[in-house]
Amino acid sequence: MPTAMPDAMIPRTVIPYTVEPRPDTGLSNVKIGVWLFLASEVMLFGGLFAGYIILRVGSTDWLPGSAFGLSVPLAFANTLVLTISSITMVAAWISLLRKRFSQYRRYMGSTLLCGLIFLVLTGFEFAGRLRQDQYPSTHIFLALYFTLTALHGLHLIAGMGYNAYLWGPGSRMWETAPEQFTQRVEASGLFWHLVALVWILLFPMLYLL
Amino acid sequence: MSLKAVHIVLVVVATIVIASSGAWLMQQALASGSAIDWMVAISACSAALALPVYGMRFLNGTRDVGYV
Repeated sequence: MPTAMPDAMIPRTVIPYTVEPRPDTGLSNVKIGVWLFLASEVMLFGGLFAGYIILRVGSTDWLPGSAFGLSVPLAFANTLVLTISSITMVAAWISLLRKRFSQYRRYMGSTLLCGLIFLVLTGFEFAGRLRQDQYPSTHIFLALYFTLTALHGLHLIAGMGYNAYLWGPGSRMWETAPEQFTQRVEASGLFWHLVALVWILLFPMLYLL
Repeated sequence: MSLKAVHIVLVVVATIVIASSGAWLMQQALASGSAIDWMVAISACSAALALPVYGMRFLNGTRDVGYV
């Protein structure tokens, strides 16, 4: 009967360039990985934006968001909240670069709070639509509105989940591997900025034009 | 491209979009005269003015942080 190998005898493979830049690309593995992921996200949202333009141009009975009673003040508040959250996100990363961990926790906590406010305001908006019997099947605009905002909301929830981990249990890594932890926060910040940028483009598309 | 570079892109895009939205919202407020419309329009214009100021301060405060 085979016996388990003692833990000390298991060969450890260290993945190179986790923190240091690769000599061939000048970038670390984490940065290349996150940018490849962001490229796939740009293709996803790019396809949906293209779909919006094609459906809008081709539609014979297009109606703007105002026809369905979409709230511009609420959406504008959401735009401001996400812009502020990007500012606090980058401030959290810079706090780690300056070795100020408690400041990092405050800024990351503020980012999470902004994300939560965004979700609550979006929830009000969705509830308003459903109360007025406005569903994706009601009109082509609503189909686009629900698809784009719901997909964006899912991305925001995913970003909040990872940020909550980096704010809470994941932040223990700061004591053992501070450089790696800082890089994780930067990668999360890059994703968060993509989510904010997508909303900044969605706001005029869905609410003003 | 580091988070610093992406943040600058976000601030520039947000400034353009919010300034354009501010102009559109100002037109709406002039047409409707509603207090909420005015409040949103003024907030948008204020944010469009505040963002470039913040961007310049951010650039000055992070001279030691790279763009790659």
